[in-house]
Amino acid sequence: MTITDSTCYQASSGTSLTGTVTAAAGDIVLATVSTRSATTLPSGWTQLYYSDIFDSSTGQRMYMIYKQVDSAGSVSCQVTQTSSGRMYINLIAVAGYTSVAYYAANIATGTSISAPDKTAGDAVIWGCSCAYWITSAPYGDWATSPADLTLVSLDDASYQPRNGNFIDDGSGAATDRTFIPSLGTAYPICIAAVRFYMGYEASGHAIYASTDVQAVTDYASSVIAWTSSMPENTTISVSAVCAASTPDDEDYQDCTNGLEIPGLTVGDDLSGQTLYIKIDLTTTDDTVTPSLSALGIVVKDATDETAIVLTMQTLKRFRNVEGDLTVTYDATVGNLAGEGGPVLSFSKTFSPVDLIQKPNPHDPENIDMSVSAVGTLTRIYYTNAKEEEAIEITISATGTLTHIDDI
Amino acid sequence: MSKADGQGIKIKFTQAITSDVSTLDIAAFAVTGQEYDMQPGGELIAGDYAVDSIAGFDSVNENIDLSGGTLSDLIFSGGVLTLARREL
Repeated sequence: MTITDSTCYQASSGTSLTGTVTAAAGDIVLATVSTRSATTLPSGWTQLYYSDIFDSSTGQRMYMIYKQVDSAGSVSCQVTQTSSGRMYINLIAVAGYTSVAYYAANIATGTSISAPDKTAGDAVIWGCSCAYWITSAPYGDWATSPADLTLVSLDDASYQPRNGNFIDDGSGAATDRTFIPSLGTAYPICIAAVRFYMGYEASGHAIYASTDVQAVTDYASSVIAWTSSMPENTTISVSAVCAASTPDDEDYQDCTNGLEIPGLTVGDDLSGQTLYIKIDLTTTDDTVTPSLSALGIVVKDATDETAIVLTMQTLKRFRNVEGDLTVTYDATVGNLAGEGGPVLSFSKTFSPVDLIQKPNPHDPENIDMSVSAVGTLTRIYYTNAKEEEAIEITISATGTLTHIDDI
Repeated sequence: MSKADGQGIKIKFTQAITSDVSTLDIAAFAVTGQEYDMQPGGELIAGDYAVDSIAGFDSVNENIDLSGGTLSDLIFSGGVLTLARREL
């Protein structure tokens, strides 16, 4: 998370407060606002969070609002309230994200407050607000445990930083977080987090072309099916058309999952045709996306009714067969029947001519071999050799493997 | 005829099959042949072939490769097609 700029403002007593921050084009400017009476937020900003009054004695409340910036420059945020009182605005210009959304919040009375757990890796900014603070210098600042976040707040040497922000670029601890204001005694505390993320596109599409349908010369039937997930505010549509050339958008017809491919008629000759399938995904909530998988088609030719397929067990298939295969059907066991009546027992021998020759499926094997031998000469006592004249000799040799076809 | 990789055999009859092929007892079919025993100087031995299933034939039975199409603002990852994340 890149922070382009951050500034903090306060009014000990007032009905209007304006803050300004410098932002780059594309930044999201986050404002954390604390007031004590009916509040008017600036136009052009979007509210992410409102605490309602969390301290009845003071009327303290907290807002988190944001504005997306199209061009670089200063961004102002003016807040007004109906009665004079304390006001705080923290402004943070964030770069590198397309979207921001409310994430989590907690309100409790104490000298510290527990944060809701977050999903590890999520980039968030916490907003913190207290109605009370130590009233004499040194005022003290906000803290968090574990102390792994960056704090944005007023200078506590000069001000009571009753508004604070903690920046978590995603690396912060996901659980067991606590925020600690400088209170001295238990008071109401409000915290809320907003998450920054790259939002999903609002819509997208994909087009697939299948030429397998060209095997069908006498169309009989078809099925198109897929697996999908459609969270709320998302849509998926699948459409298809069989055409000899690239179709226009209006040529596609909507498909229904598990039903026939539209636009095909019994008897159609699909040779020379291509089946185009178009998938459209949309979302109106950029935090969620629909998803689609396992898209399959079955297209039957009229002649398919005359054939069956035996599928062998994976580890007992005939990929290494040498010569002919024989298929035997035992009518006393099977009940296969056709238009002409029960199929009689038969035995048919054929040569599987379309097996694919494949090399060793593993990495290429290169074998280097060396041969070595050790020989020891043993002293023979027919000469007057001295006993210490034992001679040892080492013999080594190198062998080369030759491919059998090269012999 | 056989299909590639030695796993499928298509049997074509002269007339349309009318029985429910999916309920056919696979024990009614036996496939036999020979192959080398994978030893140096190996000899031909009977192959150990076993039918796993019987089904009607489909001229086209295709799982569409969802990564292979023309994708606009979509991504294919982990076997799933989703909307792409926006870019700055």
